[in-house]
Amino acid sequence: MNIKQQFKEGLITNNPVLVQLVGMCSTMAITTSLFNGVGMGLSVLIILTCCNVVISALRKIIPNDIRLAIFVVIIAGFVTIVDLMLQAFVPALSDALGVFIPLIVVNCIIMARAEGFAQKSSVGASLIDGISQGLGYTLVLIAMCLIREFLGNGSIGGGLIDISNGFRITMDGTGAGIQVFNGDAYGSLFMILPLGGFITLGCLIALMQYLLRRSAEKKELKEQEAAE
Amino acid sequence: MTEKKSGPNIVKLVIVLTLVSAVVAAILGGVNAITKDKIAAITEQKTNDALAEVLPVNEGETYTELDYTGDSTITHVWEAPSGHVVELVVSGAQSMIDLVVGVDNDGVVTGVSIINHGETPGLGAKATESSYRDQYIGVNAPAAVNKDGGSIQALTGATITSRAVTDAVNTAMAAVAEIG
Repeated sequence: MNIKQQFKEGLITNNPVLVQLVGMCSTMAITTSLFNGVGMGLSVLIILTCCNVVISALRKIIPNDIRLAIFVVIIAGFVTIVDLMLQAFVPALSDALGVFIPLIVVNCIIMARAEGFAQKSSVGASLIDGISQGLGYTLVLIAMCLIREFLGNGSIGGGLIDISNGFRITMDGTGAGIQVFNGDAYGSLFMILPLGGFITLGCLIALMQYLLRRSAEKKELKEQEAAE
Repeated sequence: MTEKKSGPNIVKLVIVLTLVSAVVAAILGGVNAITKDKIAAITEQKTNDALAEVLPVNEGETYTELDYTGDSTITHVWEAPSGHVVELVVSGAQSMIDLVVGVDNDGVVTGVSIINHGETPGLGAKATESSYRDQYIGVNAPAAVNKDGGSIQALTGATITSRAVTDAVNTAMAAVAEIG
């Protein structure tokens, strides 16, 4: 499997959230402002890549019967190490991402990729898989954040962008974002509550399935024409 | 003997899982040993910063911890020349909120700072922003959020968190009044 193919799968045709339907819990829980989406996405990207590499490297010595137990031990170990390291050496980042890191242990994307890919693929391919699937996850989070934050809160880029003193990117999550309208005033606040998470994710999955099916039908039609 | 061959070799499984767990535990122990002191120092620094933020003291003045057991949500009380700082742990919408409240000698709130919380990002977590916390500065009588007829503008979509913080501020003021 080549690198280009892997990235295409991770981002589009086998997107973890929109096609494999894994990691939906965190997707709905945290996509309330752009900062959260970017922070959670990058945290998962890093930990997913590390876990994929280690599990792939150990794949020959992990007995098949207890592989899930061993994956859980390795994933929880990695998340705890990253959490402690961030707290001790990069406290600012830890403050910003502190809420998300423990959530990653129970993010089933990591388990799904360990089970579905890393345990039967080479270390190099698993590394690329971690990066491409992580990016696919991050992109969905960003899309969800932009939609929900705009409709529910009336702002764009909450936490990450600050325009009170000229345009500035805030890495500590304190920026207020660009306020377009007051979400509370139009009764659209539900978009930022869990209800809006379900609605947005449902619409995105439907859109993705529609686009994938249409492109598959087009491909079929072309093949038929070529055959005739 | 034939019975053993039919299933997975349980002894091998136990050994492998134990070994993997032991290696991970050893690595975690090592990481913990390296980071423990640093994390403790950073936490202490955070508490000190929070104290200085809610009730600034002049150079040379210090905070002295008092022994107070009047309310179960109050974990620490410090005394400074200009007033008191009360640390409370109260239950918010989704988590326990650890916050400090500064009250000066006239019983007026000088600041609120949230040390630790696990409220919903984007909703209750906005309680940490100064635009929300600064509403409590100058409060000198029991406060209430706007939904309950008070003057504190509750966070959008996070009334429970706002009520919890407001109640904590009221508890702190009552405790300081009691201490005198």
